[in-house]
Amino acid sequence: MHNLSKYLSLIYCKMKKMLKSFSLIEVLIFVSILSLFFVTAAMVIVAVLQNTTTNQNKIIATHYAEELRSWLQSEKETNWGGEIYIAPPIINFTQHVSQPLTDFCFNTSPVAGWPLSAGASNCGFSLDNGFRRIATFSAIFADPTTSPGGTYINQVGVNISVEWMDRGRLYSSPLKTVFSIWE
Amino acid sequence: MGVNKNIKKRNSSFTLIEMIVVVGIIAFVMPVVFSIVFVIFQQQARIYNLQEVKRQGDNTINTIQNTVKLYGSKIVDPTANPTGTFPTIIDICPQFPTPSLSPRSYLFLYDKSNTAFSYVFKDDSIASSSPSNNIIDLMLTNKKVVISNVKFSCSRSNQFSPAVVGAEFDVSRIINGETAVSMHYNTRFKLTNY
Repeated sequence: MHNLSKYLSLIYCKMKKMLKSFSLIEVLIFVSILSLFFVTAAMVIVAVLQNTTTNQNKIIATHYAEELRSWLQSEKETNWGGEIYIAPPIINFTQHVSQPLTDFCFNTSPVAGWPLSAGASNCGFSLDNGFRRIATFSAIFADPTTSPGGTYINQVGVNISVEWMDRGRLYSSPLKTVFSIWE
Repeated sequence: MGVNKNIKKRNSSFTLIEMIVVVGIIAFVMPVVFSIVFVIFQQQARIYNLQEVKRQGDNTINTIQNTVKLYGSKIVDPTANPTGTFPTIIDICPQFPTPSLSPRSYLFLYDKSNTAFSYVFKDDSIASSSPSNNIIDLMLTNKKVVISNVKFSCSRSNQFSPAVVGAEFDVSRIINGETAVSMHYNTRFKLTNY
């Protein structure tokens, strides 16, 4: 009888130990680890989505930059000119690019023509509802010691920059090229 | 008696409330997880579409531009092209200030050695052909994209200057009957081998 009671009390102790619930500290540690995992996962997902959006915009911006480069090349091929800008009317490519303000805002796609006025200070993000396309030109003159002289433009450097805003940050897709009469 | 009670308690299954709480949490979490996964897949699909359209559009315009610019000598009208052993090849590019050739969906050319080659809008793509080189309807794009609004044109500033060729088209990716992505391509270039 005595042995049986001892045996039963041993079983009772073991069962009590098995049925013991989690302590507050254990629960807190578990919840903290779980929340750390979820926060990290959420941050990774947000970063992936932001990166994907940036990549999308980059592809579109590259296309716009190449579109303008192609249009400028056609302008150069059809009517190079070579003279520096002195006064209106502007009749050729080199006169366009050698105006006092050498940056232009090309915010139409397909490119509709040269912007009415040079200068890109008021170039808004109106291209495809979020982009702006600025081209900056630098005229490279022929060697002044050779004929016809230093006012003849034989090369034009072009910096095309397609920019867009994303979450308050300015992104840019640049494209640099040089147009020459000998191409 | 106390031991029996505890053993009974241990063997008891989940209560209805516990099950409802667990199912409720799962029902809340799963749509959120699936919607995030869906958005990620959607974004990836859009990037893929953009890349495909840009890759094939770039390839098409570069192929046309490089070949025509380098080898094109005369632009002809296939409907007016006389046949025979020694065909008379008439360049149809009008001279400025005559208005440019009305845009058309084909471009037929001859190179310096009078070998004919052409680009024709066909089956939602642009087909490249050069019969004497055994190239017949070589499509410049695959079926993943659709080409539309193809316009070829040409003009020249005077009788002796090279023709300026214009090529213009839209490349789109159609999914379930809707345009997912579309890009416009446009270029103009002078023939260097006229």
